[in-house]
Amino acid sequence: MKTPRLRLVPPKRQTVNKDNATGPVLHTNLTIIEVSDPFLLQTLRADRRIGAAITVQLSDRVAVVQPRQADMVIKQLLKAGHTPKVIDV
Amino acid sequence: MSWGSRRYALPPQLFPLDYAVHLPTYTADVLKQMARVWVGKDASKLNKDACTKAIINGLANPTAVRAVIDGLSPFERAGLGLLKHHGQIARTDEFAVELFMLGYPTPPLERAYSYGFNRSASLLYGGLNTLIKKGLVLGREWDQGYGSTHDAAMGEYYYRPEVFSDHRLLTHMETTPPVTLSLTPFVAGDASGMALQPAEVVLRLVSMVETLRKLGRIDITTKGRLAKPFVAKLTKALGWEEAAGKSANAPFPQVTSFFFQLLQSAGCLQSRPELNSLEVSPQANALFEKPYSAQATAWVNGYRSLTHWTEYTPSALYFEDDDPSAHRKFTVMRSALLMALAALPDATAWYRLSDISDAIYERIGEYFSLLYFQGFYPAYGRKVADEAKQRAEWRKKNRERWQLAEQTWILHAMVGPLYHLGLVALARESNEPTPASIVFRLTPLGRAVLYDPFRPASASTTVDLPTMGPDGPCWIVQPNFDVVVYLDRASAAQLAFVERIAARKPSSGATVLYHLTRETVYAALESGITPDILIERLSRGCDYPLPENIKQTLADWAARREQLSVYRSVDVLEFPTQEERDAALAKRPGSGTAVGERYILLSREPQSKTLAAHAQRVVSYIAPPARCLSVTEDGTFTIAPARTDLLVAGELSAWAETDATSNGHWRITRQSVQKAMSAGWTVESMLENLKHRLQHDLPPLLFVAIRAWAGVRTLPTTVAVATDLILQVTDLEVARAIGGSALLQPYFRGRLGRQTFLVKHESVEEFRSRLAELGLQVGNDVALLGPGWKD
Repeated sequence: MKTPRLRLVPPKRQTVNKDNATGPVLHTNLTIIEVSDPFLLQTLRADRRIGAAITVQLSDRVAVVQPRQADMVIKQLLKAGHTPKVIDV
Repeated sequence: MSWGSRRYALPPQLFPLDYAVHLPTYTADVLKQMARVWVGKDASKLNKDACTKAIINGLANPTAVRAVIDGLSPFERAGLGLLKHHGQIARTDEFAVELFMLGYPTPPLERAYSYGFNRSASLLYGGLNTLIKKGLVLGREWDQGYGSTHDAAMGEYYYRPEVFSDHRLLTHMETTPPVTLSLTPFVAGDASGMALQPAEVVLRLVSMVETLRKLGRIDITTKGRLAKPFVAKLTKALGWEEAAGKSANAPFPQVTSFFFQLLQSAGCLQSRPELNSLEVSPQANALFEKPYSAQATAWVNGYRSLTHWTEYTPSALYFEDDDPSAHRKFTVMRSALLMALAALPDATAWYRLSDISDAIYERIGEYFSLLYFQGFYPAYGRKVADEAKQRAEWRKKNRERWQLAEQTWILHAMVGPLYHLGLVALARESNEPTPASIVFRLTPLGRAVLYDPFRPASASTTVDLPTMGPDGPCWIVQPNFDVVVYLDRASAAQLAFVERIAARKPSSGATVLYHLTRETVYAALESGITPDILIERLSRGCDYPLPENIKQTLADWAARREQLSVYRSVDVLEFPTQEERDAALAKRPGSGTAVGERYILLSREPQSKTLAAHAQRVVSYIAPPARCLSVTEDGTFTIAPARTDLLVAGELSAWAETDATSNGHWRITRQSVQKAMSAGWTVESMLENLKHRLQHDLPPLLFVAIRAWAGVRTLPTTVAVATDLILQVTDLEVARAIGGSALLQPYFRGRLGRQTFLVKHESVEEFRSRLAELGLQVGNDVALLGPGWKD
């Protein structure tokens, strides 16, 4: 019969319960659309192609574009007659 | 690190242009021949080190250098003068043929070489090798060569792409004009001809550069050629091919490819950080600011060494286009032609194209051919008279071959690149497009670049070249948005500017017509020109005040662009409450801009990094989306708060409904799916989204239901109700989903096979409505069961 060997087990880390976390969250590498007139954003969201890529609004003038769809959105904006100011930060 | 110890440690590099580094790589026999120039016959008694020392010491002694130079033959003097003209270093093949084209008598070459294979290469390098053997010129070595070189002479088994000489030798040399060719000027009553003005050439190159800038990344293949989709895009954007290809006077097919390769060869393109891509280098703009002659010199040097482009490929010539060494024959021909233009008897006279072809043949035709070189091999022991007869026959055939291949190439080179670079003017003796009917002469620019540099300033009369215009008025902007540019007054910077802000229309001559459109102005603003600069520069270059309607429209277009901004790759800090956000922003002003109720759009200022450092969690949107959703079989979604991101709620809202009964839950229903479909979503995009977001597999029943709600597939199910209830499902996938569903299990009494279920009769109606809710159409007929129904 084998004798059970003792193993050193490192103590468990004290993890923060993030479900209850209330601090700020940093969102990086986002593509954002900003308009001067809230009505313009509503118009964009009503567009079948552009609207599908804009899933969330941060305010009535700022919306987030789905990742990897920035080029498509810019192309569609130009196609729709808009002249967006594209800023590569 | 010494040059010798670099082997294996670093990629191979060329040695510096220094004799002290090169000489130790040669054997004693090679060095003895070189040292003979400096110490005479005694060199044969010296060992390798002593020979090296003798040459190095000789070069360091101005008196010894002067003595060596005094003893040089006219050919050697002209050769070193030519190398000085090139700036101490030259490409081997180009320099070898230029030595012949100088026209000075060379040592007999045939006698020095055997009948061996590749005799033509030995003949072509014959003149160069007389300089190399004396050590007046050396082939530039690599730092990782093996052993010592037994024969420094260029040939089949020893080749170096560049040759150079010591600057102390070249200091005392003068650039010698080539011996003039035996040409008779063409005299005709009307010899006006046609030629491009320098400004027209600059305009073409500026157009190319600006178009490349607009297109952005230049895609190339792994072999260094332009990618075909990019060629198509560039050709379409420039629109040169049709006009240049069909030109009756100077047709120039592949003009787009030529000017692109010319820019690359002249060093105006640079590699991008990404693999297999190029971009316009800042050096291009600096070049356009230089005088026309300096620009043309750069283009001529680039043209001489062009690869991946040929003026004309004789049908009998086979070569691998992807192999840069295959283009060496064409660079040799270009060098010969350019040197021939420098050797014209009169820089202002007209000459027949066929005559200059013959003159070039006289100098190199017996050493070089674009095709396979068929040399003359006198039979051993043949009588002198027979050999002369045989040689005459060979010369006749060789000249005929030259006229078919090389003369046609010269025609294409003259009518194509040399004419379109503004170096030669062309005229026709008759309407027949044959080399014999075309006459040419150097333009003032061609003379300044090709002819005069070989002659002292006092010997040649100065050429009146137009000067580059200052940034003064040079165009007229009309109220209909047309811009008429006067080329004789426009600077390269102004041409580049107007190329960026307007679209060029077909035009020729001294003016160019552009048109301002909303798209071109938008592209200019996107390229970095501010609205103020746009109007200011357009006004400054205008002969008359800018029309008011143009000013107003430009301002409107610029203002319209400000209405909608797309920020790529920004960072946003999300706070739990507006109060916390405002407090953080007040504590670190300038770190960002408040957006909405709880967000800060972070700036690129250093203080924003301090603010971002307080984030409890970081979500990157470059990475795949966070798996933060779980879903039950009835379509209820729960978001895990610790893993959520900004987008998930928005995605859910597109194809699910908020569950009013429980906070933070969402539910997917037939109505929500149909609403998403009408908003542009497809069932594939919904399922793909779920696949990336769910923390577990999508329940099969929900998968079936979503597809059914989306109308992708009608699910033919058949139900037969006897005393007890039988559910028969014809679709195996649906049957599996139903069989595995925990939601539907309470309705089943048992299973009769893979696709048949026994349903409790007391819950028939509830089961039927449940199926209908999931999009399963229930019928009344029972299909006949096959023999394998139990399986």
